[in-house]
Amino acid sequence: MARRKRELKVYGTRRRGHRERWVVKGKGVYREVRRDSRGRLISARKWSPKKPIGKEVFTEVQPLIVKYETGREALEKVREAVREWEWVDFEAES
Amino acid sequence: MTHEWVRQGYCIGFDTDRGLMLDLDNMKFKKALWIARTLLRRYKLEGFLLIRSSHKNYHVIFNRYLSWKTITKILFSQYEAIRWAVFQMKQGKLTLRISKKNGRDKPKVLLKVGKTDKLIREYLEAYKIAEKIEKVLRT
Repeated sequence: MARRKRELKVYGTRRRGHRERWVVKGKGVYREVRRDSRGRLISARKWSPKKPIGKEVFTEVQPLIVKYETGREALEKVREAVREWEWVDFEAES
Repeated sequence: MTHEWVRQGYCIGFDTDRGLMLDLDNMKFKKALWIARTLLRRYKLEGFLLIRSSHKNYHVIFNRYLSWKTITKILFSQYEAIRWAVFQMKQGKLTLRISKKNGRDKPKVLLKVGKTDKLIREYLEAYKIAEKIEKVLRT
């Protein structure tokens, strides 16, 4: 018998990446970078002002819904979801 | 704590639409316990789990599975949880936090009363998962 899908929610302000200025061979270049919560590099790709910023660079606040059947599955899925995003501190505009 | 944004990092929540959960803010332990016991007896909810989320803030999870109609009826009969209930009704599900939030500790289980084989078991499973996730990701 199939088990019923259960749900967990992961809340917070998150973004796919952000723009960083790097100096490569003495020249300043911009890169679209993703880092984990400790500031370690996950990935980097080219960023150019001529092209529009990827939509995924913007922050999102909608909770992530993780559906699972077993504990192990939940652990894997949540870990993956948490690591996939950059979790940033929320600053209220005033 | 009354409604507060997640300001630092992320937070994990337990979601359900099968049973009754309450978020009791700004009240003493005695009152939270009294509310839990009263509802338990009045609606025959089989058992409850009382949890402290932070100072003077408690969560209650009842064991019995209920229909969404009954959950709504009970939630709106409870003045203390009405503000939280309105937000939950908007989502169509009840959610309670099971991990750290804004530097505050994760909720702490205080009391188990009656049966714990249905919704309480689900909650405790999710609670353990959240514990493991925090261990793995924050060490």
